[in-house]
Formats: sequence, structure tokens, C-alpha cells
Amino acid sequence: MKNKLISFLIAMGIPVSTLSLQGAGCTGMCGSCGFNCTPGIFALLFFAGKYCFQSMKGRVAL
Amino acid sequence: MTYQVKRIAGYLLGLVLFYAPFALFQKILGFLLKGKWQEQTIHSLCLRIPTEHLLDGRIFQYASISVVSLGILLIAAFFFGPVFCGRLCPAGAFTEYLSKLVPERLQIDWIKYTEIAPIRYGMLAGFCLVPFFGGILACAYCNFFLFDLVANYYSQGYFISLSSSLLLTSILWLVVFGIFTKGGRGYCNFLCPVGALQNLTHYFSSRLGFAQKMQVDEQQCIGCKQCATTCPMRAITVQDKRAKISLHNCIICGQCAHICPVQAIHYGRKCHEK
Ligand code: SF4
Ligand code: SF4
Repeated sequence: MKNKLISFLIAMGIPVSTLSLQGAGCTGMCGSCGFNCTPGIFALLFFAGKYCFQSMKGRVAL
Repeated sequence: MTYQVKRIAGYLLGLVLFYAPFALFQKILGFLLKGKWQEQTIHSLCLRIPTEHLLDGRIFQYASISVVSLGILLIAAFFFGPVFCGRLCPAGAFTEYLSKLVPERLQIDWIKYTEIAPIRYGMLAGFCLVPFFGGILACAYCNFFLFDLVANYYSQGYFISLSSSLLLTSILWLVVFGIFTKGGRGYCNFLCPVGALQNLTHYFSSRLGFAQKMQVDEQQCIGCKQCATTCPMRAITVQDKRAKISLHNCIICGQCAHICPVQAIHYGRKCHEK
């Protein structure tokens, strides 16, 4: 349950991370500036983290 | 007609219904709502903008075609499940079929690394929260938009400059969650708010007993796992020789029922257990 809640909250951060660049002129609309990439980068980092963490856990268990 | 032919025919129908140059659904809906027959594209249907504004109360400020379309979609999901995703959406089907070109040993089976439902719904919750803080995310990270560019590049001849978010959408949709994900529907599973909203509706209507859903006859199931292996959404788990389908990401594509060697999976409201 705790893990589900943590995953839920972090996943919520994927779209919400766009707000970090609103003040820098990013409106979140595609093509309006060069900085509206945070959600995508956040998503890539999040899933890469999940992949590495679980792979390492699996290897330790072996 | 065989199952696979019917499925592909469904996605081609989706292409004709929702995407330019045809966009028949929007044209008909536009005619009914405004009395005019106009050229339409996938953007006039946009399901993501009304989804984003579901909670902040601004939903009805947006184009009537997209608000009514989202209403139709959710009513369909309430009674029949997310059939739009499983039978009509060409954007989801595109990556699913594309992923078949890559050997399975090179693909990530995300179900082994993470639970899907909390991420799916977390993404939806964040998507609906963003407008409260003055943000808009509907067009950024839109796979419908990107599929439209792919489908209409040659016929319509338009293309837009590759912005950072569009580039990242391509990487996520086509590469990481497309060809290198088992089933090819990682984007549908993790990053599509419209799909998540339909499954949430499907979950609640199933709890209320209204929904038609995929269900396993536990008496018949022999636990062979063929359904779990073939499910493009990775929605099936098999424990104690019994298959279980998750309502949180099953898209009613019917692939599991088609492959089950003992016909233990059915679509319907009542359980078919004998
Ligand atoms: S559980 Fe069956 S119907 Fe649902 S997504 Fe998987 S294969 Fe398709
Ligand atoms: S394919 Fe059929 S028999 Fe095999 S695990 Fe799935 S439901 Fe059970």
C-alpha cells in the first residue's frame, strides 16, 4: 500500500513538473518555448529509476 | 471474419472516424451541434483538454465538440468499458503493432518493474491538478497529435517544428513505451490521461454492477498464462493457476479471450462460471 501511494504521488509529479518552468516563460503549450520538457524528462528519469532499482533488487535477491 | 481482421478493421474505422482528412465523427457531431458541415481534424475532437479541466470547473468553456465527445466516451466506458482504446484508437494500436517488429528479448515487461494502476491514476490526478496552478499540458505529450502528424504528413503535407516536448513525446510513445515495451502499449498504460479516465469509470461502473467487462471463468481456467503473455496492456496476472484481469488497465481488446485454449474468458456483465 505504501509503495502504491509513493508511486501514485511520484507519477502525479510527471505532469505537475511542468509548473516548474511556467515562471521561466514556459506555458506548457507545445512549441511555444524551448523549455516545456520537464514532464518528459521527469517521466524518463522516473521509469529509468524504477527499472534500475528493481533490476538491482532482483540481482541482490539472487 | 477472423478476430485479428476484425480488430484491424476497427482501428482503420477509428482512423476514418477521428483523423483528417475524413474525421467523420467530428464532422457529423459538428453538424448536429452547429448545423454546419466543416473540415475537422483530431484537434477539434480533443479529449485531453476537457479531461484536464474536469476538476477546475472550466470544462464547458471549451469547444462543444470535444466536451460532448468526452461525455460520449465516458458513457461508453461506463457501460461497455474502455472499448475506444481496445477497438478504435489508432494511436494506441500503432505502437502495439509496431512493437511486434522488435524481438521480445529486447523489450521491457514493465509489470515486472512496477505496478501500473498507481502510476496511471497518479498521472491522471497530476494532469487534472495542473490547471489549478495556471498550467496547461493538453497539447504537450499528446500521442493523438503525434499520430496525426504520422498519419497525415503525406496527405496533408503539414509538419511542425520539433519542439522539445514533441521530441520527448516521440521518444516516450514510439521508442521507450512503444517498440521497446512488451505489448507496445506503455504509453497507453502510463501516460494517457484519457485512457486512465476511462478505466477509472470502468472500475466504478463494474463495482456498481453496470459494466460489461472481460471476466475469467475460474472453473475453466487451467492457468496456462497464455492470456497474460498476450495481453498488450499487461492487465492479467495468473496466481494459483487462476487468471485475474485488472479493471484498471484492461481495454477490452479481446486478445485474451481469443487466445485462451479453453475459452475461459468472456466479455459480458454476468460471470459465465458454470
Ligand atoms: S485483459 Fe484481455 S481484453 Fe483486457 S487488455 Fe488484456 S488482452 Fe485485452
Ligand atoms: S489463457 Fe485461459 S486457461 Fe490460460 S491462464 Fe488465461 S484464462 Fe486461464
